[in-house]
Amino acid sequence: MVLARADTPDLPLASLPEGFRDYAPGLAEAKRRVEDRLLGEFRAWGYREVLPATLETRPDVGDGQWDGRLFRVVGGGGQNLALRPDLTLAVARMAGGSLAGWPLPVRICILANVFRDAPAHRGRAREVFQAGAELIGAGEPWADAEVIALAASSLRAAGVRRFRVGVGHVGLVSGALEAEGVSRAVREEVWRALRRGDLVALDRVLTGGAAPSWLADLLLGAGRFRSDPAWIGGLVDRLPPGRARAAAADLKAVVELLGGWGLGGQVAVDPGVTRDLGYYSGPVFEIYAEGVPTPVGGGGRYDGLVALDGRPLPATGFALGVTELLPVVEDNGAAPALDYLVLVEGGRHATAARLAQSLRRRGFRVALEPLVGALEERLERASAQGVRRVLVYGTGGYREVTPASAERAAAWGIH
Amino acid sequence: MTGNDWVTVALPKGRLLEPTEALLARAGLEVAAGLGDRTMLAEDPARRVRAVLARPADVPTYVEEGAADLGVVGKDVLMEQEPAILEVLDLGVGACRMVLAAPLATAGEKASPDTARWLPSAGRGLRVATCYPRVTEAYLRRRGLPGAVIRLSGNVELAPRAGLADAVVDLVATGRTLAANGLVEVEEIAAVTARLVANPVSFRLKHGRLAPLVQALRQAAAAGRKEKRRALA
Repeated sequence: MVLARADTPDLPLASLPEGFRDYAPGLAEAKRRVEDRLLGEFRAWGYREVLPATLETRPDVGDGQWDGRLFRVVGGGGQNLALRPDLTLAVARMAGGSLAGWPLPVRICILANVFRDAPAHRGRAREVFQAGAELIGAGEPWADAEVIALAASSLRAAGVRRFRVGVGHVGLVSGALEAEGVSRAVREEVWRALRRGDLVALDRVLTGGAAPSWLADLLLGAGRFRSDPAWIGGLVDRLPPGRARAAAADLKAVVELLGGWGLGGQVAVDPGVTRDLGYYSGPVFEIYAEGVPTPVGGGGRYDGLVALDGRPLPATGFALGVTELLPVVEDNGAAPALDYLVLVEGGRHATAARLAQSLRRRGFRVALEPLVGALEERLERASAQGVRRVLVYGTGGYREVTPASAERAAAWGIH
Repeated sequence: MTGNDWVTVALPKGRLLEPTEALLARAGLEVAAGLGDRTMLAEDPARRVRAVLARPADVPTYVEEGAADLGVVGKDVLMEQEPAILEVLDLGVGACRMVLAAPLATAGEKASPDTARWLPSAGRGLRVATCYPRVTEAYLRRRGLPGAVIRLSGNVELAPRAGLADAVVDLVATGRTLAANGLVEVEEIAAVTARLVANPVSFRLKHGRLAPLVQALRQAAAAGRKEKRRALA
């Protein structure tokens, strides 16, 4: 007896749209476990959970970064809506609405799904679950360091062991490009090349004499994680006074603070990290985990997206891709599906129900069923269901029967 | 991303394979030599480098999905697909050009970029056959040419003779195929060479492992360019 799709041709089942998936029990539980651990860590750092609405009226704040990637929805009154493409925009909206009036700084976190259209047949998920945290109302490096440290710490709590964080600064690149001797054409080409990850074009623009040599040194080091404090200190001195130097000083302060959090080895400066969302304004970061081909998370400072009485508020935060993390989470702590299956013989249901309830109250997972048909057959299914112990409750009280051999139980991950 | 200290390189079948193998050999990597018509995977256990042979258009997918850390692919494929991967090096081999070409009879001997504007299109806009629909679409838009893109999987140069298109966007190396099909170049859209690409996460997490390979290939490519210049001089 196993579950199968009904053969009813006149009642076709809805099929799954590309890029979406259903989460069966094992996967849904693994996802929830990761989320619980992330949320536990967020809470331990004083972040309070919020839940934004699924639909947005203005998801295109910024500079059209979601062009062509929104799932649009037409509302009842013909209003143009979209499924939220990310969590930061929702947080910015909440800050001006349901969070207005809260004393600063505000620490909030979210576990939610976001929706992004993607090219067909590329294996990309269009609905992904994210866990994010935001620190609103603090503009100093300690706030940047706090969210980066929280991101790293919650990843560890979730069971992700091998990862690194690359920290860049939007002002470092844009400030450097504003420096004298850089034409507008060069500036645009550099941004385009950085966004596309085109190091060939970047090299061509930067070493052709159209830009100062320190700029090439700064940007062509993609992948060269630099955590050496002397290098970062030297960076500040090498840059011309202005935005770029201020940004480098900012970065230096953030990296030093992260050293204090004990994250020196996992966090490093990577000026090539710029994040391609238009709303970032300061330190930005990306997290790379071994075994996942795309960054598992990232974020940064987005001053100006959140306002207080019309005055822009500093804010910084991040999102981690729960969906992407699932395959690399170690020690996922899978529990047996059921600790006890209580099978009731002949009208002893009330007593058996009391037994089941008392076991549940002691923390066991218990299911209760009347015994229909042969016990052997039911025991076989119980073993396939990952049941640890089976109690048969009959006229002579209850007796325990073994559902499976030890190997069978081990194969199901039951200990 | 492939296992901890192994590096997987996706190599393109077809015209780029031979020059790529030569370049890899020059950089001290002989792993590609074992690849052939039937061998799609070769390993060098001493260096912990693995080579996978893929169709050129599939190389970016291998790299983007992390099945390969590095890949070699033509700039034409990157322009068409715009994958989320790092373009690390211009390897200089497999040089050719992507051009708009039209029948000699309609474009004339002295075809120039302006000719594109006057190409006969039977009043329905220029029909351009190509294996590069996105690049062609973008080109037509940039030049303000009204037209339609007809996507083909190969033998694009036949399309005008067969009455399927008014012009083509295709790769040209020597120009012989164009000439043999009665086509002349109207405008160059891009210069194309083979590129070394990398998965962005691999590139960061395995930098210590990949950087020496990239450096060796950079030197091999530079030496190759120098040789070519000497041969031309």
